[in-house]
Amino acid sequence: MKRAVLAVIALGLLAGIFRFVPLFHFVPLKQEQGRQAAAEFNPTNFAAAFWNDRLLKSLDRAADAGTVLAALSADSPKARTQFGRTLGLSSATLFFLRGTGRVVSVTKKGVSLALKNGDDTADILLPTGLLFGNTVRDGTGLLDASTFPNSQNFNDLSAELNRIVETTLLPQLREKAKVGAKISFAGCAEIAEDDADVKPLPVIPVAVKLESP
Amino acid sequence: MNRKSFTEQLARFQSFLALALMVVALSLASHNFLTVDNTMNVLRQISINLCLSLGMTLVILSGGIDLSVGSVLALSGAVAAGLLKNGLALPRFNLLVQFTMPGAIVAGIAVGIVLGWANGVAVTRFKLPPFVATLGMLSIARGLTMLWTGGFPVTGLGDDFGRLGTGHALGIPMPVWISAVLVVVFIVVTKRTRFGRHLYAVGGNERAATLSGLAVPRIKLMVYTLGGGLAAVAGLLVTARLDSATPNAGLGYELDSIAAVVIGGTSLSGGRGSMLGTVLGCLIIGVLNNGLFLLDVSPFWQQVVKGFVILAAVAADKIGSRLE
Repeated sequence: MKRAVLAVIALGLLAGIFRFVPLFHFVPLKQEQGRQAAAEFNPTNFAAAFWNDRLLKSLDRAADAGTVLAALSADSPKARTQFGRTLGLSSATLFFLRGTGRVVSVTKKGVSLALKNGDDTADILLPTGLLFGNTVRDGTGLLDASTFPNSQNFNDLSAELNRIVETTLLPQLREKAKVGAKISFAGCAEIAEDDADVKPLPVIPVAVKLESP
Repeated sequence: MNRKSFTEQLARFQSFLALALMVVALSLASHNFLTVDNTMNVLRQISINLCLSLGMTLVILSGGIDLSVGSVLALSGAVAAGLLKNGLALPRFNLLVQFTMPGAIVAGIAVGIVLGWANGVAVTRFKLPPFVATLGMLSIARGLTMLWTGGFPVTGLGDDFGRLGTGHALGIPMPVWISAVLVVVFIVVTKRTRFGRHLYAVGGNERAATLSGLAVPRIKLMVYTLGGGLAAVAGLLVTARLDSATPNAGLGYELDSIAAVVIGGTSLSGGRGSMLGTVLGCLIIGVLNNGLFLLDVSPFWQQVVKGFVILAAVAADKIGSRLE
């Protein structure tokens, strides 16, 4: 009897507490699903909007590839600080570059460019295979991870940006780039901490303009 | 003090002496070790293992073992995170149950309690060996976690929930406060209550306890249920700290908690040990992990060293029991 009274008192106390600190509340499911769908992050739409409205309008922010390569071979740490950026704990340096070069070779790996006239040494490699990693997303410096609700969205965006490069830029490079052709490009590059010889520097293009030889 | 009583005292305080020796040695070896920041860091790191180990101490004191705590931790954290973030859809009624933060916390702890109770039922009602019963639960809870989360982390749980794992009160991290309160509660429970006395009696000699009229199955059921509840608290702390409930959270945590309990001097055969010893055991493991990290020892060697420390603790416990 005494135990039952105690149980009733405890239940009453709990009910009182939960009256003021509710544990849950009910909402109509369809209404909530509609609200969530509207608020849901869509990486395809976000990437397309970012690409057209921000990235392509910011190409003039990219550093000159020839200048950066010369600086890297003269004083790599200084060049990395001056032209590049690192993210979080990563020791790799990211660059946003642009330039114009002459195609010196076309291989399965990509299109190699020489930046200087009269020199056939490949300075830049524009890869034409499948893209992995976050170089495009992080290289431009236009996106801040902390403004995204979670890392999954940020990673989805990276995959979507890579997909844009793979589907819109790389096919024309593969088909139209011929030795001797002139290519103006802008793109992103990533150099590991221990990379001493960076040439040819792989630059994932975000914009290319081809001129026939 | 004669030789025998000195060795007895030595055996009694072996965990404390081991911790003191480690602190002195690491303070000399690394100037970063004995700082306020690092001490808080160690305390925050051990708080999760401490919650698990308090429950494990109860179970081991009763003469059992609980291998499922890591999986219970993961499922409790995942359920709380899932309910907080997505709620619970009831399509038949066209309703969504949206959980508040207290609601998600209560639900997470309830999951741990139910799983712990199921362990207890398996051990007491179906007479399964604790090792087998909790090994089964380890797999069941991990599978349920995968099903609940779909194999993906549940993230973005909000600042309020995150404060549970990353916040501070009076300069001390919240997980440390929570685990400290639990330590005090369970010291009182084991030392000052009838349940505590019965627990030692059951672990010391189950047959004698039964013959003395103690409700052994009920005590064991209670012990496993409390163990599940404490694993759930640890799950909530992990989830809040990482702002993410990952389906593989808590993998291998059961071994760390058993190690802490054993290093703290609790006998694996039950009936002997203390919550304070478990606190020391957690501190030893935490200080060891932290010290080896500060000394830049390879993580592979850290595992080897930890294994040797556990072996040494069990050996010292055996020698200590003989001396006493």
